[in-house]
Amino acid sequence: MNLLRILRQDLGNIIHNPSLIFSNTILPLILIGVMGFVTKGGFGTEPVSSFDYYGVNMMIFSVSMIAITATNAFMEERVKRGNFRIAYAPVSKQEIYLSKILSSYLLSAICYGVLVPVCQYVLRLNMGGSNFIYFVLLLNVFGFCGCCFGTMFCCIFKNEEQANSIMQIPLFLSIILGGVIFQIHRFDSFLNRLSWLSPVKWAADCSYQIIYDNDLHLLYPVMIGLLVLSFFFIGVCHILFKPEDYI
Amino acid sequence: MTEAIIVKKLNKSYGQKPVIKDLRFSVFQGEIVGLLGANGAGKSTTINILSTILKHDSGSVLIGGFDLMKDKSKIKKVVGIVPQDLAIYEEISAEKNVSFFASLYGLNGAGLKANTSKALQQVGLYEHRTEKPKTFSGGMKRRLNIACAIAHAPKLIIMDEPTVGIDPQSRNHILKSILTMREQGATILYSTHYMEEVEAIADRILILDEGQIIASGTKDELCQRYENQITYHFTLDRQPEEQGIRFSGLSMIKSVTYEEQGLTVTVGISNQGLSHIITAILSAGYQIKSMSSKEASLETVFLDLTGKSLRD
Repeated sequence: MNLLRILRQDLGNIIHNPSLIFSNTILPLILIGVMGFVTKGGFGTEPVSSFDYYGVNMMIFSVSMIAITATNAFMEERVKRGNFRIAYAPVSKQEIYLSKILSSYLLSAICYGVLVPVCQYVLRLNMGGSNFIYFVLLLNVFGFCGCCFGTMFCCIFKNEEQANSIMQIPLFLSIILGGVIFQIHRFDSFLNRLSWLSPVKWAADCSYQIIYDNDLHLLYPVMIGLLVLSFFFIGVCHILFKPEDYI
Repeated sequence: MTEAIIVKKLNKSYGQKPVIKDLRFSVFQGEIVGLLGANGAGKSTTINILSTILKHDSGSVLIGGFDLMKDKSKIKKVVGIVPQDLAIYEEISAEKNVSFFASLYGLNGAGLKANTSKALQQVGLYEHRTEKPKTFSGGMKRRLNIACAIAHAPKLIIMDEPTVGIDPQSRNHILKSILTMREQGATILYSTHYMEEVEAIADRILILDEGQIIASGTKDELCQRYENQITYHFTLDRQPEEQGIRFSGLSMIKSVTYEEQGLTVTVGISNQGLSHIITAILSAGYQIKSMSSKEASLETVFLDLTGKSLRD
């Protein structure tokens, strides 16, 4: 019961943070517009335009950045002290870190649950047509994994600034290896093999299959892989989260 | 009287550095106990252990009859914590802050609403309940910090320097509300390094130094030990040098503190030594610009016991 109360409060805190709302609603659309426009010359209009291609890629990129929303929900200066007052109340430590994961996940689920159909049906970008629901499902699980990742970094570094700056290293490596900003398969085979370590790559390849090949066979293995990673991150949170480290 | 808190042989170290050493004290139900100590004396560590947030290395703590090691959750339900740092959300109203934190203690519905209003009234913020703390003054935020800790009507309230950095008006308001809480049956452990606050509200005082209680009792009991003692403060024409003034032959002198523009001398028996002290100062070539005297106070007691000023 307390988990729901804390979750509601955490979600309220995120909603009161305009930069987090902006980066999960307007920013993905701006990125699609800018990247689509800049690379227009390299693409035709059929079957995949630059806007279609970056529509998918920037959606994955933005969802992977949800990890930063999670660290903010946990330790952003304006909410940090209030968050840790919760530790004085009769609530378990799991309820504290799980509510941060779930609140940022809910934000991602709501934002991208709306953005994908808007891109598909309003902006006429190819998000999988009738398969868009599978793409949304994949983004949901991917977003959950990102939230667990961000929260884990807060539990490791106990400080938003440090967590964010260090987390950005594996996060951006993962994004670059995932090939959502520029295609990595053009480089050597070693880099190509290395790219399979990146969950962003799993999500991106699975998305292309769903959207362009109407093929769902990667969907479940990728979702299971992301969930296994998520549970690993939650496990680390459970071991490392100690309320006394934040007082 | 029943004990609300019993601390026995409590020890806590950070790495190799012991912070709390064999700490023992009790707080009885319905009393306000002032925990007085200079910065670094171990007040916050003690409070954090009692708040169940920080694990101690050894010793036992009973709060409301519950063992800190075994019944954390039960203890949390009966204790209200006012942390030293403001622990409130700036972006939601004062009322929502209090209501949210009280709801974590199982309050809901009409009970939650009534307790929220009562807590806000108690700290004088009811009129501002719909306003967001980001618009509040420092003093109002401190009061909200207290309201968030008392809305679930705890039997024991632990306050860690709740008046740090606020104006005298807000401080008086907070001290008055603490007295009201006591009248309503709460037990309060009040940690501070402001002597005058402890003098104003505490029934009993515990002086903490280097992780140990070095004295305890009522203000009068503590001061009684020093009733034959008097402290003189001299303002001089320039900064005195420690070797410059010869007090060595004056046996009645208990302590001398050299300051930027003067010195403070504590003597043992009434004012018999005054003329000798003045002579020593003048002989050293200093001019006395002004002089004042003070009988034994809590400050004298603290200084004498710890050798430290509370403002250090």
